[in-house]
Amino acid sequence: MTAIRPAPVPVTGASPPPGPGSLTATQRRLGRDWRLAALFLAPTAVLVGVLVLLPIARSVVTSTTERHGSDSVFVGLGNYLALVGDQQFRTGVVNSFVFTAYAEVFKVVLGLSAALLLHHRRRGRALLTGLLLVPWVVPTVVTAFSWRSLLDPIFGSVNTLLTDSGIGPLLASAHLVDSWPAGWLSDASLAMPSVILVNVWKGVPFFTVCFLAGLKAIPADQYEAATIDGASAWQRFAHVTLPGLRHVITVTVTLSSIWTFNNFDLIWLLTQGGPGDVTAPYVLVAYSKAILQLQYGAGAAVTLVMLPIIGGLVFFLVRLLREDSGSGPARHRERAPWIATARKALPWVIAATVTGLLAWASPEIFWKAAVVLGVIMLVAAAVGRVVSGFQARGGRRASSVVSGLGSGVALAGLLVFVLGPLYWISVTAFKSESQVVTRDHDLWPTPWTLEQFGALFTNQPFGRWYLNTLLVSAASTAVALLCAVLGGYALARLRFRGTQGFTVTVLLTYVMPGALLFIPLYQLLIGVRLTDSLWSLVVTYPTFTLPFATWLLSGYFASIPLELEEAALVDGCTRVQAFRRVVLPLAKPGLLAVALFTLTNAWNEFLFAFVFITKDEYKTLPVGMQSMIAGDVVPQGQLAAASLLVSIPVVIMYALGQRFLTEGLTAGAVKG
Amino acid sequence: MEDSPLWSRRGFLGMGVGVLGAAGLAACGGTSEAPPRAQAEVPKELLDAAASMKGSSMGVLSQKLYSTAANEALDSSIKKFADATGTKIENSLVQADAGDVVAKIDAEVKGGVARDLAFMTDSRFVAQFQALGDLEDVTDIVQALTAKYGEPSAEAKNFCVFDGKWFAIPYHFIGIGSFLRKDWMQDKGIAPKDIYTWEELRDLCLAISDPGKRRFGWGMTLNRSGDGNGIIEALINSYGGAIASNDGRKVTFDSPETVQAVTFLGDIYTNPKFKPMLPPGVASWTDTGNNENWLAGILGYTRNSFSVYADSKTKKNPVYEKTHVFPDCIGPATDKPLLLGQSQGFVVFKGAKNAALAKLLAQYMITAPALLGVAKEAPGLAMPAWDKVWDADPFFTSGDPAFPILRKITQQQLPLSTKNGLTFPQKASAGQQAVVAAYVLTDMMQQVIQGAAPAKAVSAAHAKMVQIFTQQGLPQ
Repeated sequence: MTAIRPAPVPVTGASPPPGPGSLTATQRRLGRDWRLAALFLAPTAVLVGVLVLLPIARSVVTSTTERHGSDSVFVGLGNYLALVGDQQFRTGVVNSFVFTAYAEVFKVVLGLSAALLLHHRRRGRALLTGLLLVPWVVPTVVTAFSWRSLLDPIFGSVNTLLTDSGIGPLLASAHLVDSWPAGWLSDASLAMPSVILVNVWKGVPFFTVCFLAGLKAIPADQYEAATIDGASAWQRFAHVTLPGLRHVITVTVTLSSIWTFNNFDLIWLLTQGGPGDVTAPYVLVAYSKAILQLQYGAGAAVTLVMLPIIGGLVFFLVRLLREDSGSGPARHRERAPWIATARKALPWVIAATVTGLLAWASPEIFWKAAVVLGVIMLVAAAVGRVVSGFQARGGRRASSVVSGLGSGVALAGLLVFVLGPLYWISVTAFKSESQVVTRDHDLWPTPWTLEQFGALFTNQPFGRWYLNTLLVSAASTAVALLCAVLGGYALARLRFRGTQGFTVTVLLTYVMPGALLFIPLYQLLIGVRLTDSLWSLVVTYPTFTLPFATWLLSGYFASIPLELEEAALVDGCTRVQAFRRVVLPLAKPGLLAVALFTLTNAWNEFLFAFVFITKDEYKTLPVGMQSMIAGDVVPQGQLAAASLLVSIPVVIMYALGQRFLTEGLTAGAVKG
Repeated sequence: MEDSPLWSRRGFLGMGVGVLGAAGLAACGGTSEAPPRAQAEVPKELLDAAASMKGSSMGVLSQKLYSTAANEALDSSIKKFADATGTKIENSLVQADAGDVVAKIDAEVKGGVARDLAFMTDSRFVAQFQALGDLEDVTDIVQALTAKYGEPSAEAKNFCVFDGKWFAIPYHFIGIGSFLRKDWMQDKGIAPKDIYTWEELRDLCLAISDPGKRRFGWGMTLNRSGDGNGIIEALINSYGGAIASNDGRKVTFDSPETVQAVTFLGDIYTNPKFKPMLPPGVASWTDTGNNENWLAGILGYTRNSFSVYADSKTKKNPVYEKTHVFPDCIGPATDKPLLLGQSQGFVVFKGAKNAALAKLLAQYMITAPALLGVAKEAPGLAMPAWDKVWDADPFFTSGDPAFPILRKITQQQLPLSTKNGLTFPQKASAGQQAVVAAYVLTDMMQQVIQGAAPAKAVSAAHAKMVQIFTQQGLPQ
């Protein structure tokens, strides 16, 4: 992320006269601004180095050992070799791949649709965007238990509604499901699609927001030029929108793939990998070995074996991010023509390979997914046809009515999908306990009662959890902002050696799933006596979002015109002063975007809070809510009440702040 | 829920642990006067022994009970003790079912920041902690308690004792049992019995099923869950099969008895004849599935800890009145059920800063006054673990029709044996616990349900178990 032109050397101070010949030896080796860069990158480096890289290194060492009783025995590559014949591991890897691939496809399709619909909307955009963001905000434990309840074959509303509307038996006759009523989570052929569905539900908001930002970044005049040239709506979409979004799509999909591939808690809470091991991702296999069987070495080996794949994705991401800085053009001149063709064909080759692998790994899901996608495309195409048909005949009124209707219906459908489970959560919060247990009238409280809220506050220290979560979120956001701002600026503006290396190292944080990282991290935190306090969370939470945040902000900083800074420098500011007084204020939307992301992550995070904190008075909301599930009795009503109280403030916050969110993502960060 | 003579995944919440250390802090008085009421309940010899520790503090880790009222009863018992002895006792809740409790606590013990005292389900966790070297020897305490309160529950002697030394102090017995809907049986003119073979039970479940009326007889899942693991292992044991030999060291899974058991169990889930008795969605239940559906009134039979029974009783669920309780089924190789139950056991962690006070607190918590409040809020789930404590209060023997059944389980003469020479309980084995944690049993049954031949599935599982045992340091 280096700037295209070198920044001028500040005039203040007893510094050597300006000009390239005045570089010191160290500056020649490490880059002109290496000192400032070191200072700015230090916080991120320390945080990531100690909290992520160190545990990963320890895991590498541990992966060469086996635990026999209370001793550790060195076995060299034994753990890795054992994986070759491990059926569970192979199934796990295939499952993770299938899960990630389909989830990404649907997230892109739905996210793009949502973004397009919202983008063209004039009224109510803030509210709608806020509503569409809710799935992201709801804690995973609530997502899992609500969907489990909804997908219950006997009592769940999904089956009830589909049966009543007649769609259910239709699905069965079309062989999309094996029998009716369908066992969404219990049928071996439906379990994986159901789990993918829940992941898509949870992930669509992130994609929507990113694509919305990307759409805003496409210059309007490109559309105008296309219209003047006679392009139809579809042609405009295919030749202006899609290419304009290409960069955003690629970055978002890569990031999301890394996160989804390493996802653990959603599947764990939904099915625990069952029925059998049909939905078990490789992380669950690692977790089972490391935590359940207490063979940390074997578990670490499973995760580290997948390192090349995640590492490959990470590396790919880094190359993409480098393109941001536009360091491309100079290099292209030297390339042979066949390399250019190869580069163009690469995405298609990758797409074809992935599709082929998917078809081989999961034939039943493949054709069902194709059917679903096909239906969506057909409907969209049909509506588009009708609209352009009207337009061609000059019936502008009719065409705008139809397109308005079409997008209204589509938006409604999307909202139903997104808000359905939330509706269920809201009404369950007002049901009486006996209605919850007997599962009557799933979709309407009879009678309405505040019993659950009362029970929530008397039985649990809910207020305490709220306070803890607020504190942790605020503090960790502050830490993350600080590190990301400094790091982003360094990467965007300062000239020094090792930009790419640094970015790669920081992105390595995503390589190791949290489900494996937490034990070495826990041991580390015990060593410094930070456990059982909110500080352990304040210090570890920023690591989740730092890479993404740093990238976002560096792109934002890069988009701020250099002249403004130069003017400040010419007027006598130091680098740091120019940064503080000129750049930062201009970067407010970007800062807000980062703050919102980190806040949401901290609000939602479960695993680390669960492990690092034991004292009840320090528990955060997700942990507290999870702890309400005592043994094998799930207090659905209280959980629903808690979820409402947890989600509403965040929704309001996003509804108000989403404008800044998209602005923050827009400038520079998402430009192709 | 499940339970198997050897292992159970579901946490049994012993005592509710309530709330804050702040409560404990507030409770500790600086003066030597304690409210007379509390003093009357804490035995004098404990108070005398604690006199030297006045003003000191300790930390307790308790498992979350399913009901907050039970939690509060537990916490108030601890407070009473703290008040009476003038000490500070901080109480924190832990959820044993999350899966990582052993890994987490082990890290704490090795790092020197563990609490002093905790209670853990003996058959699930004590062997693991002991194998990791995390526990203190508490033989002296157990001997003193035996002299005063009689024998502890039979199974505790197996799960808490290693090389003749006790590493956990039995705290309370966890009720586990099988539950049938006696009203459904009445409708079909069938009289409830106190003992069934697995075949009889299966046929009974089919007879009382009626999908049209939402009555599903067989309420057990074979999915990855504690319940699934429990029923599979119990059934195999009752047929004369076992994961490991009696000393817990060698894998003995692949045997004709095991294959017979697996065939029987798999048949229930694959034979179209039994379809009416399987609730839709049973294949994806996790541990909460059978509880929720039992409480919703649609299951005819389920096997679980008494959490579901207690829940139906305290929340006045109509299902409670219609519940028939019996211990467990027998198989071809047994005359009596192999159900041993489990207890919560107090463990003192190595490096505990106030081990002495912890041991005194443990001795108080097992007594009737301390246990009564909890037992009332969690009926069946928290029962006495010591013989004379059962008789110390009429509630324990006559508070519920199911209690005498539970007492009998605690008084069983051990070992129980099968006709082919297996004795239960078997020696606690890190290998066996790891095998269960790795879902080998449930995955094997899943293969059978998907169509694999039972014999093949059993030998594949055997191979996996051998690998796991070797990895745990038990060469085969």
